[in-house]
Amino acid sequence: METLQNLLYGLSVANDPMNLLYCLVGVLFGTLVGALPGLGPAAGIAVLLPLTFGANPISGIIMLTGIYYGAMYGGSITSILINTPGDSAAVMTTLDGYPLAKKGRAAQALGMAAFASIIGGTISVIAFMFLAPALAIFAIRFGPPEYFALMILGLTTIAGMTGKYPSKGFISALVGLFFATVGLDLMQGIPRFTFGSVHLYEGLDFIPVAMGLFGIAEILTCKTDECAIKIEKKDVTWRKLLPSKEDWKYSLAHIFRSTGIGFFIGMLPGAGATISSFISYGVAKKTSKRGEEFGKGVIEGVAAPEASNNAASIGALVPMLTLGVPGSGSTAIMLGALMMFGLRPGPMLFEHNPDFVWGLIGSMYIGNIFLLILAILAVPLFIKILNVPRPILNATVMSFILIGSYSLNNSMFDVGLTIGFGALGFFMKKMDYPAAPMVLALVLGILLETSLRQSMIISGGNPMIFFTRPVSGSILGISILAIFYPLIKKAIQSYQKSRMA
Amino acid sequence: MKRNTRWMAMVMACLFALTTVVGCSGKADAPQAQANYPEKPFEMIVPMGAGGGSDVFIRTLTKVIADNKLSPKPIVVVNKPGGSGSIGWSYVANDHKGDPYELSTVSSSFYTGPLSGQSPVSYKDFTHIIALCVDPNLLLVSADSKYQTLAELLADAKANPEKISAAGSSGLSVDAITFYSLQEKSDTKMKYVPFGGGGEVMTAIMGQHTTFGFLGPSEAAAQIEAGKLRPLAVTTEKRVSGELKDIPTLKELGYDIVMAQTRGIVAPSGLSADNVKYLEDMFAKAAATPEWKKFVADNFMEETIMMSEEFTKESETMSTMFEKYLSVVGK
Amino acid sequence: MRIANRIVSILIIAAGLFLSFQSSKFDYMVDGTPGPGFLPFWLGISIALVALIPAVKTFTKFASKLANPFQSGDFKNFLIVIGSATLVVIVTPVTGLLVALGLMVGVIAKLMGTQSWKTVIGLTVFTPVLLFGIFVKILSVPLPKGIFGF
Repeated sequence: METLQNLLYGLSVANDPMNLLYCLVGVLFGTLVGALPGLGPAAGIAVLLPLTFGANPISGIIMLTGIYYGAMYGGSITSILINTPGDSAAVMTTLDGYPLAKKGRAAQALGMAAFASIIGGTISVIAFMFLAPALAIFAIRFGPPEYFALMILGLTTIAGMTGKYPSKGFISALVGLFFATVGLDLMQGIPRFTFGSVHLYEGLDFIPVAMGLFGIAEILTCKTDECAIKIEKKDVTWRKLLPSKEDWKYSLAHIFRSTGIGFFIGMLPGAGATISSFISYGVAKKTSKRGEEFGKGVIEGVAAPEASNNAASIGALVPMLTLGVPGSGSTAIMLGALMMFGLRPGPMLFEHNPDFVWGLIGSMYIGNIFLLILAILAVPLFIKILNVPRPILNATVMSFILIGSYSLNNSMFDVGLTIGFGALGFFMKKMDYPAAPMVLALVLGILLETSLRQSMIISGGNPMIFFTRPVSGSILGISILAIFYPLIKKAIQSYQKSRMA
Repeated sequence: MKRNTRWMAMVMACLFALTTVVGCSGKADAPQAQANYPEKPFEMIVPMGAGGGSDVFIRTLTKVIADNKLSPKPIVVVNKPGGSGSIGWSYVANDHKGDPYELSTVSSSFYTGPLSGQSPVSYKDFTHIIALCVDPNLLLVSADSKYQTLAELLADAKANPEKISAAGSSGLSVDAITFYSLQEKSDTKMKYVPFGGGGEVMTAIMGQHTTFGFLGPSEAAAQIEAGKLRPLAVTTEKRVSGELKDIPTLKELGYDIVMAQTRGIVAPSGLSADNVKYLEDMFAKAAATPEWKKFVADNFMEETIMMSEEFTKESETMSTMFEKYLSVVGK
Repeated sequence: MRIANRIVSILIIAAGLFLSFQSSKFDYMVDGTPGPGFLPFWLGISIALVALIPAVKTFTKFASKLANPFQSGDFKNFLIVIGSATLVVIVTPVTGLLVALGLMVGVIAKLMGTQSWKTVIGLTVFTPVLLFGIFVKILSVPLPKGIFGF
């Protein structure tokens, strides 16, 4: 009951016209930076940070949070329309979103992305409201061995993305893991595989790799006649723009499951929205009735990662507000902002600043409604992009990719890197080496290696640490099951067949 | 209709382009005339990503300057992360030598970078403008830990080598150096576990994945207040003030280790004395404002104003100290 | 396809072995725990081993059935886009990023088959203006400026 009273109070705070305006600006701006290739929520929050200085802390954080979950939806727009992930959490959305667009179902994909995002976001806000302090205690039980187990679980999803030739898929993943080792070694501070360039010290950024392998490679390989996606005028009616009943039937269960996964993984510091969208996609593929069709354009392949990344963005607020521990790059900047406001995130925040916490929760309900209206109204507009003649679209997209990669670190080096990965992506596509495993492995690889080495230091070199701790042991158990599940399934099927015969 | 919109767009585009050209033509002039310095906006390079300690420090400082109108021209903050800061610092020191409009800030990798061969520029390539405060470092355990004092913890470490583990940010940092010198001075054998940043270190301490860990007071204060973390020692020369005044220093406890990060403003080498004086004054005025003092106090930093000359000497001392400890660490 | 696959597989095997060799320069173990050379060493070995599979396949009947993926016209897009993008990186220090990108957009649009010169010129002018509005005005990204002052 107390929670509901608090919520009503929070909604009244959020309904203040000034706060509503900040919320709307945040959501709008977030969608924009999310959709622009290269720029993600972290960049968006950093840019608008100075604007919040003049405001009171509540309005400020309402806007920054709006940018965060707005960007999670925005990223799906370019993923679906031009195969270029707008930010790292949207990479998985390209896998089925773009094939859907090629089939002429871009509108339904965009609509589903919006609904999935909003459902995922809203459920997460509810979970946040009731459970935040309790959940935070669970999040800190995740130490290095648990992260290692989680990364192994993430890697098992690669098995589902290897395409026509499994060996080539695994090579792609292994090379991705190798790319993750580039840069200064966290433990000893020595540069590895940087070829003397200081620009590689921080490692290969995920965004240039993803934009090159997906976005540029698509421009390079598409032939003008084959890639044209025509949207007929008569198709742009409201009913046809929204996901059909059948789409919902396929997606709904995945949305709920992915929301749970996303919220939970988002809560873990360091894992975040990108990894949660990977794992959700993998789980959706494993549990879907039409798992084999994933990657060829199924609607639940869009719904699952989109629900997941929005849920993760709310989940990341749990450790930030209750522990003062940022769960991702974006929340790290928000934490910095809170400190500039003179607030001190931590266990006492809920007691000392209830107006702040509940105002934020209230605003997230309202923000998600804004996001839905915005998304639905904008779908017909976005669809028009597909009617732009291919040469013009390619040229403009290319300029956005290059300027986006520049603004990542304000460095021309990243522009060169993006072009290089574009060329690599071209040859990979031609030779049937799938790109998704490489990108996935790159993201997981960094945490995989550090958590492995941290665990081994803690245990004094004893690998049993991964199995004796209950949480990491059970995650590893699930991973092993996930690897052998297809084999077992086959064995059972062949057994049943032999009995039938 | 369609024709009309296209027309409008063209006209808009031309107008936009025109204003751009006019707006930018004034900025191209070289900064020669000293008398009316500053005559264009300053660029403040934060060589780290947004949201970190250096970023919050700089953004708050520039906000204080803007709010109090202490600079006639705006200070534009630009993040140039990468290479543990070396990309940003070499941009300032190498690419803008003698340019009084390029400013930056210092952190521990400002000193460790050139020493370990990661950075092409060292403190010698900069004009030191002003140091504003030092960031102490805390040694903490979880509130559930059985160790009430540092003495207890180190006694256990002595009795059981390789049992106690510590969490800190990266293997080449103030945390690591403090750890290794503590290990050396207490004649113990412990395990240092490097993490990616303060948030991860906090999780490791609170979840008791490691026995103890290192955090800045601004990161740890909320948890200390809520009784989730227990501070055992602080790395400053004297005890910090305010809420954290009960924490003993390592020196008091018998380990002569002082390791705190100075925060200040630097510019490329080759600035004229007038320019240095101007900048010194501007930042000193900012540091005297109540807003700045509140920020420093809220984040448990210790106000330590050092003008150009003193700051340069301090940098020399810091660099020698890091050099000494880095050879102890053996990396 | 057979020849291409064979060449690529052999290149990957060589790269894998090279990586393992390079990794041996770093500590393999530090105090009984994996060092910076541990993972890269095994990754290099695994890459080389897995790449043996497509390499061996090229000697079986299976490979001869695959069509050559590289048709003569395929490299046209590649050269246009990668070439002009590389030029952007080269000329940016002189012209500034916005001008370079504008020219690139025009070149790509024209060479990929836009007929109307009006459209090409419109794109060349309008794209940088749009980018300026979004990235400089709204997002205040400090783009590299050239001799024109923007």
